[in-house]
Amino acid sequence: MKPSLRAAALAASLVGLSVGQAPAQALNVFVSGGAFADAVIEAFVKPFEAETGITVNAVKSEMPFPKWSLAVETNTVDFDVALTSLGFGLQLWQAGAMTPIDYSIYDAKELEGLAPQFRPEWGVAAIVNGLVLAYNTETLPEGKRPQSWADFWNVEDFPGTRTLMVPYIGTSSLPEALVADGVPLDQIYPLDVDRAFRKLDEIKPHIRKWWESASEAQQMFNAGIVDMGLSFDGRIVALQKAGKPIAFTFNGARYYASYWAIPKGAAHVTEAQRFVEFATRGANQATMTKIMGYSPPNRTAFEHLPADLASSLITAPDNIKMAYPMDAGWYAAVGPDGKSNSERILERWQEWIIK
Amino acid sequence: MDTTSSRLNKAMILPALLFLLILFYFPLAFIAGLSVNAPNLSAANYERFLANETMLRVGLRTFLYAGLVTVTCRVLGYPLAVFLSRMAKAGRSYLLVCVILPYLTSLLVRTYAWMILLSDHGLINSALLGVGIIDRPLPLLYSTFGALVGMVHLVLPAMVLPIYAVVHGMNPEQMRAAKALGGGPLRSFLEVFLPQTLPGVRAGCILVFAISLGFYITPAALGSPRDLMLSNIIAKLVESLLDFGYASAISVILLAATIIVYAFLGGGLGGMVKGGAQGSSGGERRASLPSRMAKAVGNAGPMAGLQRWLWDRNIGRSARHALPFHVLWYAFSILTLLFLILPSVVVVIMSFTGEDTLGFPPESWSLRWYKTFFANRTMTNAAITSFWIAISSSLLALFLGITASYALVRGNIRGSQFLYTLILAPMIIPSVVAAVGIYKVFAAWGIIGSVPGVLLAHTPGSLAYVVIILSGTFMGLDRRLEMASASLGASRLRTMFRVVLPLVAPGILAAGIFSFIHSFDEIVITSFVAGVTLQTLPQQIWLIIQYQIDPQIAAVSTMIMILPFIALPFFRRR
Amino acid sequence: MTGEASSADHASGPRDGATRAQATAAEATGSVSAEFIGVTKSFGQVNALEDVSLAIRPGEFLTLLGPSGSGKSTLLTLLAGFDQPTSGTITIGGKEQTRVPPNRRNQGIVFQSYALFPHMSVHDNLAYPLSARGIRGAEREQLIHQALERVRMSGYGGRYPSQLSGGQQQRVALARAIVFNPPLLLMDESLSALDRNLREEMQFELKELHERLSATIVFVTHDQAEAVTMSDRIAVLNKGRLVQLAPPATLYKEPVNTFVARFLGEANLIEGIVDSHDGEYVRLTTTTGHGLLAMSKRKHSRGERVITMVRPEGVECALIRSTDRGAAADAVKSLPATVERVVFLGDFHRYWLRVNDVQLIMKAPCSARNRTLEPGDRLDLSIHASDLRVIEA
Repeated sequence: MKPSLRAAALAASLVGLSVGQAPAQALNVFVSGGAFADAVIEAFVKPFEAETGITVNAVKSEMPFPKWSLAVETNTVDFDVALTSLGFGLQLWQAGAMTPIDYSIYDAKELEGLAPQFRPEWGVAAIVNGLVLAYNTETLPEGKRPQSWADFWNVEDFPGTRTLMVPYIGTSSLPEALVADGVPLDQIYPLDVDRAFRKLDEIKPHIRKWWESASEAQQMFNAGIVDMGLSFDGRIVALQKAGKPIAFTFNGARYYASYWAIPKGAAHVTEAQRFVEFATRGANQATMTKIMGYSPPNRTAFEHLPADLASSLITAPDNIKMAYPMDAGWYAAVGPDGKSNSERILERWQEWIIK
Repeated sequence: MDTTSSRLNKAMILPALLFLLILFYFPLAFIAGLSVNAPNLSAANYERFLANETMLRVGLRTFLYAGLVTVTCRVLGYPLAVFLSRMAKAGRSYLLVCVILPYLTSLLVRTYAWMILLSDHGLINSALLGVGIIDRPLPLLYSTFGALVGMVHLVLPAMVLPIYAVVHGMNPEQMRAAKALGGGPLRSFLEVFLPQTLPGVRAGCILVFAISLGFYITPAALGSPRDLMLSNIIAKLVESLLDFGYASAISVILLAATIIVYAFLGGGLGGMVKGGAQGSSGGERRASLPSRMAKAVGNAGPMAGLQRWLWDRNIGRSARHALPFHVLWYAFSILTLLFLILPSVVVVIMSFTGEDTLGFPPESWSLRWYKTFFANRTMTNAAITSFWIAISSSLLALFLGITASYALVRGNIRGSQFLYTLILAPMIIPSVVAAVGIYKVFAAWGIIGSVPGVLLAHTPGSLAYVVIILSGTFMGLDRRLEMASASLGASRLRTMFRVVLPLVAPGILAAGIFSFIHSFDEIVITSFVAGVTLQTLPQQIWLIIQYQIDPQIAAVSTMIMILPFIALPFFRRR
Repeated sequence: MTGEASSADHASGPRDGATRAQATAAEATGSVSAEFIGVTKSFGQVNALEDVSLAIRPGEFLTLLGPSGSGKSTLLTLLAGFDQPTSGTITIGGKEQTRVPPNRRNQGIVFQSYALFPHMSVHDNLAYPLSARGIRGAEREQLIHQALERVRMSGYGGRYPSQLSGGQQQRVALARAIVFNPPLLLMDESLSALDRNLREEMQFELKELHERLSATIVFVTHDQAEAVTMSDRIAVLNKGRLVQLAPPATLYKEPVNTFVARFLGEANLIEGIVDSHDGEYVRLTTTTGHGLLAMSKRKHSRGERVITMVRPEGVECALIRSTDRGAAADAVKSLPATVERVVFLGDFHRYWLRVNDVQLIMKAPCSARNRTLEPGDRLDLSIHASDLRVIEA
């Protein structure tokens, strides 16, 4: 082929690619990726389409937090529903980048099933994550497996390589330090930052790795690089399913939800509201739980779950007593200096960690 | 050169400049505006950085690590590049693909492979324990050592390929000096061969240094908690704090510091461009102090030092008893090559697991994860999309880059040093900062979520790779060949296509590979610019590995690695 | 081109590509003149060439000779079209070509480094200029064959430059430059890279080729011997100026100034004051106080200070003396000298002599008749007026 011909062919193929678009009327929902996205499509998207006749374009992608705010700012919002974390959700709401959730279309019983923290004005909880103390049952013998954060801090009696998380917006390993230091679970917030850092000073030399993402923690447990540490319950359950010798305890666990939210300026707000409502119904959340093993925020979901599965979930009544919810509001609170608690912790952390 | 052709040579830089101005600097200006709080100008963001001791320390470490990585790559990469250029043609191409394997393996998969290799119970520690060299595991993973290993591994190809391209394009007579390598006239090697290859070494060093400055995922994943890089902080500021102003201020500082470092080393930017022009006109007129220093660094750098040391120790004195120099050379090169492919080998092996999660060694074997990939429409479609975007983006980058680097080397342009930096900048500015600017502009143009949008967004980065590699190659090209061609009656176009391009083909191929991979692996800018209909392969891989330790990723990586091996016979026919 | 009529007037205008080139190549040979008229070339503040005017005759072998930095390569570069003069014009074949790019000048150039295309075989290297002129097929092969034969490289068509020795590469470079029968052949230090034997062989072959080709050849070198052996005329350049343009013998015997005298061979320089001037003859008294008769092309006035030059072979031994005393006071044309050093050169002896504070070199044939002088010997020298030339400083 001559160069010019080749260029023409290329141009043609490019045009072809950009023309292959989703139907204009489809509801664009960011469903994240991997097995999680597949589960979302199975549990929510397909039944929703079947029930309402609304076409959903499930976008297998994450919505970067800055992009959300840029899209609203530049008036180029091309999506209708997306998942967001509690921390980012609050920030976006404060920045005016969210459409309020229409709770009027909810069934009363479903609404009651959602604890107030799972249904703020700007979003409805989709799944609940637990941050738990996990440990390797192969490398750690019986009796040497930590059962509380105090055990985790006790490096003499519970030897082994350890991991905790780096702070992020709306989260950090400071609460674990306070729990280990004996602060009652209902008094963790507002965080005593000085006390937490003092406690972290003790454990710092023994932490092999401060992880940055859930997948990193999961990989470390999977590859046997660490013996104990903080991880997401869902990730540990996945490892257990794959036959890995990892166990965890809900004792002193912290939990928080991911939320469905609708950006300001979405093209299909009405349909988006209906999708969010559909996806947060107990029955549908139970389907999701059955596929992925993540805890449902809606209590009514437990009516549809078998007892053994229910007992492994952090939102199960027996488990949730040992755990405490994360207070994103405290992290997001802005002080007189214009900085949020998150920012203050991040700055202090950066200095602390390279010392 | 006569004035008309010289004017034309100069003008050849315009397409690239125009492209960058519109697609990179225009968006960046918006970001830079934020850093000074436009329109109410204030230097607060800059003061904030300079007043923060932690930030300054992180900044210093960033440059220190980048320098360390560059030096290490030069020591490892130079012998390997020369070794490769001396290989027989057929085997050589395959080995060259081996060199770029690290680039073909998705970042996250590769990082996981390093975790498996470096951990306390990992392959390396187990081997060392087994042999009895150590009695307790070395803390390789989550240490500065681990971070450096990961970084060097990733950028070593960027050192090897430019040097290879220059050595390959060298005059056969000069190659004879290299051929004499085994015979013993090492002095002629040091004094004739080595200096000839310096344009390639410079290109490699600039490339490696620039990429290393932008590192943040690898050191964060493999290094100790202290191994924070500046880009790490910049990314965090954008991604979680939406503090565009502060992030862009730090980016501007990073870029400025880079320019200062390069200016100090001289040989880097303008020295590179001008040095070549002087070299071809026969003599160095007035080498500036910095460029002389860079020359000194280049010549007395670790590699030359090593070679001199070997010469003095082994060959110079007791040539009969010492190991032949070329045996040491080969052994060193082969070890380097092994280092390059080791993680990829781990990935390939892991891809054939029958288990549900990645593990090494797999407990059972199967092809199930390959089947999973092909059964997954999202993945295969994303792969096709990524492929087309990468092809078109690198063709565009090659066109802009070939003309621009030719202009930089042959055009005798005033301020070429500055232009070179302009072209290099997309590599240094953290992509998340650029992404914010690009989103703003693309949103205004309405090309968010389109294939052209994504490929245009990828091209500035690819262009930097192309220009760095090709300006090194063009410099190694004997200008008299072009004069000869003209004297034989060939038009400029004929000279370009029949003489210049065939002779720099290895450089073009190297540049093409880097720009292809740059686009094929790009994830940060893509996640902003891709809308609701466009999904690329790296995005999908990233998402999968965010949610599960899925061997499918290893399978995809393996297939990407195999691609160039399949494509090779087509290139070799040339 | 505006129309048929005007294209006839400018038949060899540079633009009508293939037809003209084909015609030129097919016509075989022919040679052209070339002329530099008041050419100046500056690089920044430095003048590489200063007001050079030089006419090259059709068919001649002209050498540009000068030390490095004299401007000879710049001159060639301008003639080739790789660069353009700051001022002045260049005509080739009577037409102004000052700003015509090299690919439209139809000249063969042989580079010092040969500049063979390493990625092409010998055959393809030679085919290159022909393809550029639209010559294909049998005609092309014929021309390639002929050119390779001329440089005695038939049968090497399939080789690559890297598979050839230096001398072979040189021949191929030459073949490539003549394959399209250019009327003007430029050679830039083309033989410098060869070893001595090969070089002499090539000098001979090149000279022979010149006769057969009947093309104009402009040859650049810094090697006087090479220039003298090969050229019809030599243009000596120094510091960007044309110093002298003449056939080799003239240059040797009648250099215009001390630079040319010294640059081409050995020269004895003797200063003196003009006593009288008669036609071509000048009578002068040297600074050493001796009278000499020299030739000059200029007018001189009495008392003028001049420099004269004599080649070593022009210095003759008139009389060997054992003492100072017999010195003839009236021996106007003789110089009393002392032998300082002797070097035996086989066919010649070279003597370093001293006349007061002036040193002279004498070359005397070694024959049985001549006794070899020893250091310390005293002698009277005689210099024939036609060997002693008044030159400029």
